[in-house]
Amino acid sequence: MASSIENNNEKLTLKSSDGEEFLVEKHVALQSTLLQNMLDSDCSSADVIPLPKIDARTLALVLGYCKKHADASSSKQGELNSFDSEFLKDMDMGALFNLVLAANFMEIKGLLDIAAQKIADTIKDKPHQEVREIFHVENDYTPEEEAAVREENRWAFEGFP
Amino acid sequence: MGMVRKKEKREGTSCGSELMEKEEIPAEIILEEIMWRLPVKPLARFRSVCKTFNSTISSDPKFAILQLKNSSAITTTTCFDRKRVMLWQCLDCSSAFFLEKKNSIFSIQKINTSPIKVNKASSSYYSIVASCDGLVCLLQQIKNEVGSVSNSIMFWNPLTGETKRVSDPPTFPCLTKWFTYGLGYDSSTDDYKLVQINLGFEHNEIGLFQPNNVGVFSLRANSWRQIQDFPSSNLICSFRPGVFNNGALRWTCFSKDNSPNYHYKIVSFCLEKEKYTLLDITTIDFRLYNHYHVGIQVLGDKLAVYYPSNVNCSYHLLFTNLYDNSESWTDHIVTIPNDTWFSTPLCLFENVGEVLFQVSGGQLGVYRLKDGAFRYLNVLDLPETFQALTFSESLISPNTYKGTRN
Repeated sequence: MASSIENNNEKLTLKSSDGEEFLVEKHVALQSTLLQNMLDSDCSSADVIPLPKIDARTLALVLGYCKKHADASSSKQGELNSFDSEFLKDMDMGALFNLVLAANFMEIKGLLDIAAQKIADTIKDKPHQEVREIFHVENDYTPEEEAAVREENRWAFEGFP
Repeated sequence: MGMVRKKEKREGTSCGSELMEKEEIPAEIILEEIMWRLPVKPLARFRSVCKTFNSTISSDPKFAILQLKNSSAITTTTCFDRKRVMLWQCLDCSSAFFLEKKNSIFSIQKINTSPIKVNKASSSYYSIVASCDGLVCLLQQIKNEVGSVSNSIMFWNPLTGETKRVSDPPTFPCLTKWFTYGLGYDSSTDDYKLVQINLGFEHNEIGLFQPNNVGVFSLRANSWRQIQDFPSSNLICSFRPGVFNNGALRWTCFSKDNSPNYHYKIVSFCLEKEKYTLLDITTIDFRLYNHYHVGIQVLGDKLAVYYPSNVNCSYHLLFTNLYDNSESWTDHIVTIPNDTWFSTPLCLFENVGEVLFQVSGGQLGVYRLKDGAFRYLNVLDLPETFQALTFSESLISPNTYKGTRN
């Protein structure tokens, strides 16, 4: 990790669900509202902060996002936007789910927005049966109920099974 | 909650290098963080996923507001994703359609939530008088046995099918049974306001028109109140619905002097201050034209006015940017071959730089801004006559709307 030239170069340690430890510069960690609140209260940066719901692979991605956004000056919005789309480009659904859950838990709004929007854009043109499978949702309609809801929204089904 | 997550384990498809515990995504996260980022059309389909999805999508006010805010924040590049063109076939069966485009072929899709039970024998007539953020206002005009007309207004969200009948306006001293409307969102009160202007069409002996009185219906308060009259007693407001942009409803209106001239203006009604401002557009000598139709439309982020030029079948289409008060206009001359009657611009397809027109009451065509070319669109199953409007889709409920801020 590149050394920071800011005064505020304290570091803290995050621990993933699978036991891997990550040394993070404080200004990067502050992208997370959860960590910010912990640091604002009594948590000493010497402590290891456990993140029991986030695996190492996801946490590495999250911290990559935070570092980019913490280091970029606000004038470089265009550069950040292209970083964001490149960052998510080839990610599969499972990785996106993990990112959404991590960003939701760590309260990183920007990351939550882009990852959740990416999922939405991916399922937009999929049939509802496939959406059930993607989200592992059980169909609790009777065939009659399902037909009635579908009929009411028939305009939206053109070209869909 | 009617949703049960399957217990079966998910297959890891990506990096098989290590054993990873795949999180299943909880239902709350799907609905609270992901689904409202979709446009309304896929949401209408995903109501079929399960009962929890259905009830959240169709009737959770918080979900509807998140969906609307997210939709408005996304720049619209085409008219077929967040924003649509709606066609209302008012004469025979009161059906609504969306214009669709797939692989550059245009077609129409019937909307099945029409609130109107067709009764051929009834002497009711429904027209769309206003629309904003997915809410449509329908005016029902009922003719009774002695021939007098009574009006009744209904809010309708075509995408959820929900309707709300509006109480009759208190009996303002309305001079005629003719009204024009506009629907807009007032951010200062976080409320939708339906504005009704009585059109005092009648002449008196000295040629002056009567004052136009104005009522405002608040969706949150569910009630009408009368406000300051239309700005001038000799201004006649267009019967076309007001367009809403930048916090104000705008109509075209005209005044007349002793010459054959009609003086056209834009009247803007600021929804927050409930005040009117006037802006001159043009003066038209009505003897020169086979029709003198002046109108206003929001095209992309610009306001545009249009009126006939002195060449048959052609119109001035002027774009302005009212926000910077520069009052600079860009003029296009739009020539529509075989145009026989009112032609009106409907919306701007920003991605291709084309303005969609309704031609002669029943056809569609596009004008290309770049080179001025006009072509008719071939639309499968297009009704012969229809009312057309642009429609920004939402799931907002006309019955439970309590503001967007909480």
